[in-house]
This record gives sequence, structure tokens and C-alpha cells, in this order.
Amino acid sequence: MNKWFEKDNKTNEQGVVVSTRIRLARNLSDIPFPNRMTDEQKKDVISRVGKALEKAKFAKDITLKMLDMEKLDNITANAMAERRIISPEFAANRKGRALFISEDESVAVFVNEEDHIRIQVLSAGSDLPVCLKIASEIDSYLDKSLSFSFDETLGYLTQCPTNLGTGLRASVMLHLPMMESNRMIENLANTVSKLGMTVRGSMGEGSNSRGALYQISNQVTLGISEQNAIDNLMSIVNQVIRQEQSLRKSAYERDTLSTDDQIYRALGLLSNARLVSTDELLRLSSLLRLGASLGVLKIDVSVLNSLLFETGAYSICEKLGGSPDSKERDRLRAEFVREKLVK
Amino acid sequence: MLCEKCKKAEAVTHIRQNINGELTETHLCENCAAELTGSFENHYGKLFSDFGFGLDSMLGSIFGQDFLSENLLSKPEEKCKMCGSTLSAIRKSGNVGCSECYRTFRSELMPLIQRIHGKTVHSGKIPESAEGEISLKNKIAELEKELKKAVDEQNFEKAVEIRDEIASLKNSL
Repeated sequence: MNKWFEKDNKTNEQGVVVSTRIRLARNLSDIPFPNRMTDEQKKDVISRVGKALEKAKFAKDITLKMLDMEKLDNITANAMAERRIISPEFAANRKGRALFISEDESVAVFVNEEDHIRIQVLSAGSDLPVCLKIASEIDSYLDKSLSFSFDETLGYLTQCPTNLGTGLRASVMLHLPMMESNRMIENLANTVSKLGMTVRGSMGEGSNSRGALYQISNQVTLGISEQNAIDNLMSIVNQVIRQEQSLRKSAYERDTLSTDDQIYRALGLLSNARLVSTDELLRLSSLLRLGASLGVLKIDVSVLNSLLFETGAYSICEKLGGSPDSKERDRLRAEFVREKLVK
Repeated sequence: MLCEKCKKAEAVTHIRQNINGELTETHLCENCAAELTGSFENHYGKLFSDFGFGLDSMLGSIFGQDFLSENLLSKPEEKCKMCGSTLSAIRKSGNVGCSECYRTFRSELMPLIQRIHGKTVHSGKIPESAEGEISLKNKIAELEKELKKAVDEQNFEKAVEIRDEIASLKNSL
């Protein structure tokens, strides 16, 4: 089955939006939060969630299969983090944790991460309302048997006070090569922070971004309804999309030949290189993504997404084997990229 | 690996941050790391623009202000009945221990919550399970008013009836 990021997506906002994520944080009221849980309590929560989800079937025939994180090997777990399904922290600390996940990996329920339960829905493109609807359906279903910890004034109670209220984190990953090269990201970050949102580089470390990929998400979760939070986020995202698009258009009109040249060079390199590092791939595939959005190249979004989500070090090891030796991995990555681009 | 800040010297210090479960790592050389720790003490505002800073320490410093002003640390510390957390443990980790902690330490946590979200009252989804509870609580409050009225009117037969009803509603909470 195709993964969530390989699906055809018609709502891809003209090549700026890469993906969307909704996450709901929930806890049980009779058990301490994960930072104070015993191993027994962790097992108990996993088994309660397992029982609740055993026969569950959600809209669009979504069913969730349990993965015991303890039984997962390092490579598989980290490859999942590279596909953006779990956080690197969840991949690194697997003890006493479980994951219930749909076949295309778009829907997942984490157990014993930072909260007892976290429901996550991913989508390629920007379908925040659709993602929220799916997450909310799973939430209501689980609440029937688990009755989540809820306070009349503080809303859903969470381990970290930053998630109190709706427990909702909604984020949209955007490809912003032109805003980045025009040094507009810092300004954007300052503006959205005043509106209760945040911008961070989504493939890099800290505030550095790689591949011009940025994530905008809501920060405030108390005193704002789920619907208002995603409406606000979308209105910001839509403005950013328009700005990026207009920059792309004017840059392309100003110097079509140089832009074409850069895009075709990136394609040439990736179609022929025998060794490709993650850094190089992120940099060059950013140009391919730009080329596809300008109509210069005909590359499916699903291919671009594969180049982004399936080419991390662990993902390459998981798919193609190979030693952890980085040269071998770079060779296998180059081979994978060439095959994807020939198709 | 080169230092991510000056991009000149070899990185020797790794700083891991866990913000809302999202792990980020920063690799720094000796000088930049020293600068970071130095600037952290006087001047943590600058960190925000350069590196982002750990939520835990941020929560800690926000808590710190409240503690100093209320001089709470000089009193013996109250413990949460359910998980045994104290306020200083919560302050240190930036994590609340359990649902009950939010009741036990509500007045101390409220200023922090207000500073994080700007608001203190939930708006949005209410779980079905709590909907029942919330309406039950309202019903009990109403009955308690009626009970008082019945006692005032010396209608003890009715008061006993209401008292029993309140007891049974409280049981189902």
C-alpha cells in the first residue's frame, strides 16, 4: 500500500504546501503522567488502549494495528522518524511505549509519549479540517472507554502546561525557497509569534532549515477552539503561500534562463550522481520541487515526497540494506534517487 | 562536524532540547558553548533568537518569579495526593505530575498558564464523558440550594429526600 505522502494530491496549493499534521494530546485521569509513571502503569495504559482499539473501525475504513515499540529495532524505528510518523525522541526511547498505526501510516495513536495518548493525522497537502475530523473521531471513540482527563476550565489536562485546553497542535510544512533566499523567514517568524503561532525549520536542527522546508504551527491551546485554531493557522498559511508564489513568479520572469539552468542542473546531478548525501539531496530536490511548481519539470509530487521522506540514513538502510558506512549509504541513496527520477 | 554557530571550529558540545516532545540537537565548538552558558545566566533573551531555548528552563524561570514573590520555598512543601509531586519538582522538570496536580497546585499554576496561553478558560471540544459530569455537578449545586431552602422552611421530610438524592448523585460522580 502507498504511504500517505505517496498519494495523489490535488490540494497541493501549487507546490508550496508539503504536508499537514494534526495532533491531539490526551491523558487518563487515574494514572500519573508519563514522567512519573511506573513500568506497570505504562503496560496498563498500553493494554487499555489496545483493548479500546481492538475492533475499532473509523471512517474511510481506517483500522489501527499495534506496534510494540520495545520490539522494534533501531533502524526501523529511526526510519519511521525520518518518514515523520514519530518524533526522533519516540524512536530513541522505545521502552514502555506503543504505537497504533494505519496501513498508510497517516493515522497513528502514540501511547506513553509525552502524554498517555497522542492522536496524529498526517496528510500530503493542506487538509487541516479533514485531518482534525479524523483525529476527533478517534478521540471521541477512545474517550467512550477511557474517559480522558478533562477539567471544566482548563480543558484536556496534559503533562506540559503548554498543551492544556484543546491539546491540539496543528502544523503545516511549507516549501519556501524564495522567501528564504530573500531573507524573509525571520520576519515571518516574528510576525506569527505575535499571533500565537510558531515557525521552525522542519528538516534542520534548531532554527536552521535544510531544503527550504519550514513548519508553521499553533502554540496557544487554551481559550481557543479547535476550529478557530486551524482557521487562524490556515489564514496565515494562505498568506505565506501567496507571498512565496508571487516571489517565485517575479524571480522566474526576471531571469528565466538562470532559473531554468539551476533547475536542470539539479535534475542532471540527481539523475546521474553515484554518491548522494542527505544534505545534497535536500538542497537539489528543493530545486526540483521549485521546478515542478513553475511547470519547468514534470515530476509527480509523490516522487518529490519520496525523495524527501524516504531517503534518510535509516530509511535507506531499512529499504536497501547496506552497511551503516556512510559511503555505501550514499551510493544506495543515489541509486534510489536515480530510479525514482527515471520512472 | 563544524560548530553550527561560528561554522569555523570543530563542534565538541552537543545540546539536546526536547520541546513538546520534538527533539532538536545543536552542535557547538568550545567557545560558542562557553558563550552560550555565559549568556544564559545574564541574558537568556538572546538565546531565543540564536538557538531557541529549552522549554523546561523557561518554565522553571517563570515559576521562579512566582516562588520568589510568594516566598513559597520557606514553607514545608505540599505534595500531590495522587502522584506525590511537589511544586518544586514540577518547576524543575517543567512537567506536571498528574491530573490531580492541576487541582492541588491550581492557584500556583494559574499565573504560569495565563502567561503561556494568555487565557485561562478552555474553549472547544468537551468530551461526552465530561459533559455528563459537568451537568451532574450543576444538578448537585441546584439541589444543594433546594436543600438549604427546605431546611430554612423547616420542611425536614423534603430535606432528607434531597439530601439522599445529593448523596446518590455524588456517588455517581
